Amino acid sequence: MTTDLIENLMLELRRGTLVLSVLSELRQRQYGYSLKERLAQDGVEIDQGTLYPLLRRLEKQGLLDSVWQVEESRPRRYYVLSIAGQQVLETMSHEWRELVRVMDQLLEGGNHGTA
Amino acid sequence: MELLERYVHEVGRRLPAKQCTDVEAELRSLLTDALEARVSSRGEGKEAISEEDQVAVLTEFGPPAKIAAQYAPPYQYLIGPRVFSVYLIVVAAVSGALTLAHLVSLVVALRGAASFSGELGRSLLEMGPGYFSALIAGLGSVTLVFAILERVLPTSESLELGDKAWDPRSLPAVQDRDRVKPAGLIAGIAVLVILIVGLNLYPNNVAMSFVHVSGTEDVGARWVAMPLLAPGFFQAYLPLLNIAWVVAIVLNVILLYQGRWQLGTRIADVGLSAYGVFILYRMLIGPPMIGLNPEWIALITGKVASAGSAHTEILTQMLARQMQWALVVVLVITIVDLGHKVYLVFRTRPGAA
Repeated sequence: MTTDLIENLMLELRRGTLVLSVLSELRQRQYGYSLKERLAQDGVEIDQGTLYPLLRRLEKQGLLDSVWQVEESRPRRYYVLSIAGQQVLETMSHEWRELVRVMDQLLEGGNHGTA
Repeated sequence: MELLERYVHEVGRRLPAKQCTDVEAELRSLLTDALEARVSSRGEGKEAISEEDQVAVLTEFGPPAKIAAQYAPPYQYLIGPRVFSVYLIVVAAVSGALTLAHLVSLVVALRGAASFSGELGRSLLEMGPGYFSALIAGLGSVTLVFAILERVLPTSESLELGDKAWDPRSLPAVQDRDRVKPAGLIAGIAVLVILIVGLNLYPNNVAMSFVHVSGTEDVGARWVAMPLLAPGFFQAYLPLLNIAWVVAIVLNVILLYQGRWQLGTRIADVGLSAYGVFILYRMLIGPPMIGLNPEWIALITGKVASAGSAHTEILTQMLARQMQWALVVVLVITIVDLGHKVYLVFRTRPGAA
């Protein structure tokens, strides 16, 4: 029961970081599987069934550009940050760092000190 | 890589048409990447990809309904990919149950009837509208429930049957929608020829047959046939129908020769269906198709010709009303079918033509 609860909470916590993780990796253009591998190498495990539809949604929101590359052994769709995506990444990165600073403070007892 | 294709097809068929081809192509590419990476990690080439590899990769991706739901924008459908398969099953069950219930009622009504043919006609006349009303109400309620479910079900949930222990091996084979079935085409041609010959050469054979008993039961009993179609049918509609049937025969022969639906035959089929809608509409607003002879009615009812005339009027009106209902139903079905055929034209690759 407690293990399940912790797992669910951890899942929720990680889910909140997925978009930022994906945007940060797509400063360089990647196709779906190479992005998944890069994320895994950097310690972010994400289901393929979640990642690929997410790329589509981000593209639809105008944060990513995509292009089919047909010169390779088989056609692959490459994704890269759009201009709007770069601005969003910059804003989100700033927000993330601020969040980490605040959370660190909170977890260390905050401005009120420990009892 | 048959399992991969079956999976891609199952995801694609749950997606909007404008999204389907692109997502299918990307999914095929991504799955192939994952499969090649898997065999490459064993130091093997892509020719070593086995069914077990496909099962492992597809299991990791998850059931097609879940993937399709992730790709499809929320609330784009009245009934979305997450619940659609179960919705179809419930629709089939409700339709079957309603049909069965009406058939049982019909059998019960006929069991105690003195005259089978008279009771059959009366029961059918009474039950026809009731059956369609029940069907519309039943299916409407089911659709409403599933539309609500679509909106209240958490996004991570799916009603797909067998979701918990999903096995890629259970994916249905991909149906080739462009391949024609010769048996169906040949049967279609045969029916059309029978219609053309029957209605043009033997118009009086479209009749209601019954046993006429004159005097005592065993004396003078004989089968008689009462023609049903009005002269207006042969003047106003039969020429139009003949054109449609001849074109349909030609189309079926071409399909038999080509073996596959192509863009040209798909467009011809759409034209034929549109022409069918035109004919049905003309039948709905034009002169009546059913025409009963008072002398025949007098013969059936055993009354004098004047009484037969009154019966004829009532019966003709009842039949005309039923015919109009039937025409409305057929018209709606034909329009839906026309929409489906138009969709098939757009999904047919021009290269295949």
